[in-house]
Amino acid sequence: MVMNDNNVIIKTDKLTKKFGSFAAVNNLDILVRRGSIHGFVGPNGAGKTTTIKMLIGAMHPTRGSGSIAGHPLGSIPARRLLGYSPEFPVLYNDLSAVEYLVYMAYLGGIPPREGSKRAVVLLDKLGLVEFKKRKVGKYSAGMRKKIGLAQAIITEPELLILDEPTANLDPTGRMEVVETLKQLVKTRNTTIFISSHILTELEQLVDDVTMINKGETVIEGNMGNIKGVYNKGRFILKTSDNARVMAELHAHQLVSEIKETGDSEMLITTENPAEMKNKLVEILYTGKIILDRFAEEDVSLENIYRQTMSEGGR
Amino acid sequence: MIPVILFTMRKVMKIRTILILLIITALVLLIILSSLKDMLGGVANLDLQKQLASVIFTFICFIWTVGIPVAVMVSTVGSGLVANEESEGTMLILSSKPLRRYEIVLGKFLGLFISTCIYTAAILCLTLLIFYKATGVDPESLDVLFRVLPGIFAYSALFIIFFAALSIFLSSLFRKRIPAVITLVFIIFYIFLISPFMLKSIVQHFSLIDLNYQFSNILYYSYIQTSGVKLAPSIQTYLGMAINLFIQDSRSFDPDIAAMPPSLTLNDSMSPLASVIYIVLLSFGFIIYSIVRLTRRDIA
Repeated sequence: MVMNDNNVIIKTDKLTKKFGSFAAVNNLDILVRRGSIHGFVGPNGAGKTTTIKMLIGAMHPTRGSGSIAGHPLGSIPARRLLGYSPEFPVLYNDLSAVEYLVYMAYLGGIPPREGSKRAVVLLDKLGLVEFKKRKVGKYSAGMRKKIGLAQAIITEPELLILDEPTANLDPTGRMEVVETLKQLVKTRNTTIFISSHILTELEQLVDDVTMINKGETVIEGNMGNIKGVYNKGRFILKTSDNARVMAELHAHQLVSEIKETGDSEMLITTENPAEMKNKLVEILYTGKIILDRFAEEDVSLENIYRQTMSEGGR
Repeated sequence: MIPVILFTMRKVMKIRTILILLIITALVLLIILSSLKDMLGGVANLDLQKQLASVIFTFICFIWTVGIPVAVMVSTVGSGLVANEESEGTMLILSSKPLRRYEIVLGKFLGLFISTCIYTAAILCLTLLIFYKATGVDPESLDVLFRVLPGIFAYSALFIIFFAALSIFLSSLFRKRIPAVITLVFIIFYIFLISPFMLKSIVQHFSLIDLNYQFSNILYYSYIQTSGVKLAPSIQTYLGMAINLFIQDSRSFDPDIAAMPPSLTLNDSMSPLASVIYIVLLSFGFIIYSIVRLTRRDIA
């Protein structure tokens, strides 16, 4: 990714974290565009949480460096720009939701009176306003998750770093969170760096993605571009005479692989899509075969993830 | 840092806990002072009553009012201030906020210090009230008590600084509350029971590092400076022995005339200012260590 520095909000350069001889994160380079939603994906133990902890300043890198909007990781100006919600929400259980959010806002530089107003608005948005005076220690896992997200958002940060923000939430809760995040990007141009295991959900949200495994980058870039790379030459085809089309395409050596996928459809892989498309038109026309469906395969993030990880992460 | 100070104060000043502590302290005071009513109220000589009242009041504050309850309060709360943030994971959130790590340690220290000082001011006023009502001393003796009160409060502030710093040091050292509390209880016992009564007789010049001696030294000086009372030699002697300024043994007493000042040996004499500096430096060291430790540490 080539980007102007002004367009970059997170930048890491060979970021490394070692615990003894074990490298949890190894020479990781990340670039996150301002105003984008950036997915951060990888299997358990890949180094996602360690990376996030270095980004927020909780952990010191063993080697390498990074910055947030040009400010070194962990510096006060860098932390002033970010809001962070951990995978497992950690709250002060003896405080009510409003008290907790006011304290978190105050730590972020928002005076208590303003913090109190913002807390009520946020709780309303997240469907928790009727429980605002209840101690957060008595909240359910899903409610705690929302409070964890609210404390990250309350200072209206330029960058939100979210570790599994929708884990433990019911479908309605997930939708509320996803909607809130979309709104943040739309109304405030907030950049969101989001780590999640729910790839189908992530796919609907993210513009860019970084996939890591064993502490190293496996794939990174714009979601559309990545899909473009992965779905090159893969088509779904359904006709009134699949067997004949298959035989003809094979005879002309225009396909490298054909698979029947059920529902009378075929998944065609070709190294020469343009020529294959021309030949297909000819076969259909001359053979008076009816075309029911022809489309490029929609490569999902989940497919890419599965494929990449099965190839050993590279 | 202000949010951390206010949050810590809120944690320390839980109304229910404070009320329980005040009630227990007041009840014990009532029991002790009721037994002294005849002794103090019966003293016909006003000068002697002033001496006795001011000495007993100072001594009660030293042992009870700002002694055990404040040490226990500061230690139990302080030992959890950093450790609980770490063990419960909230330190991770704090470390993502625009807050330097030294501000976390200092904020907690100051919050604990300020709130305990407020509590101490309240309990000292209560002690004065109970003392006056329970012993029935003359209003002129009450004037003397009013005079010694600021000195006792200043001593208490130093006492709180030390225990707040120590508890935060142990809290960040152990990162878990229970071992920090156990260590603190042991240290309190060591300072006020083991070291003055056991080790002193074994190790020469031990008082130079004995915190009980240092605290006593400061309180004794503050009393002498603020009370304006000239103590009778026998009272001065008893007070000196009680707060560990004099070394006492069987030769220090005569069965007929009780304590014999000339035969009492002064403990290693140390300037009260040196004692203050010693305690402040120790506390400073504890805080610096906690800051360095938290700053260098990865928050998991």
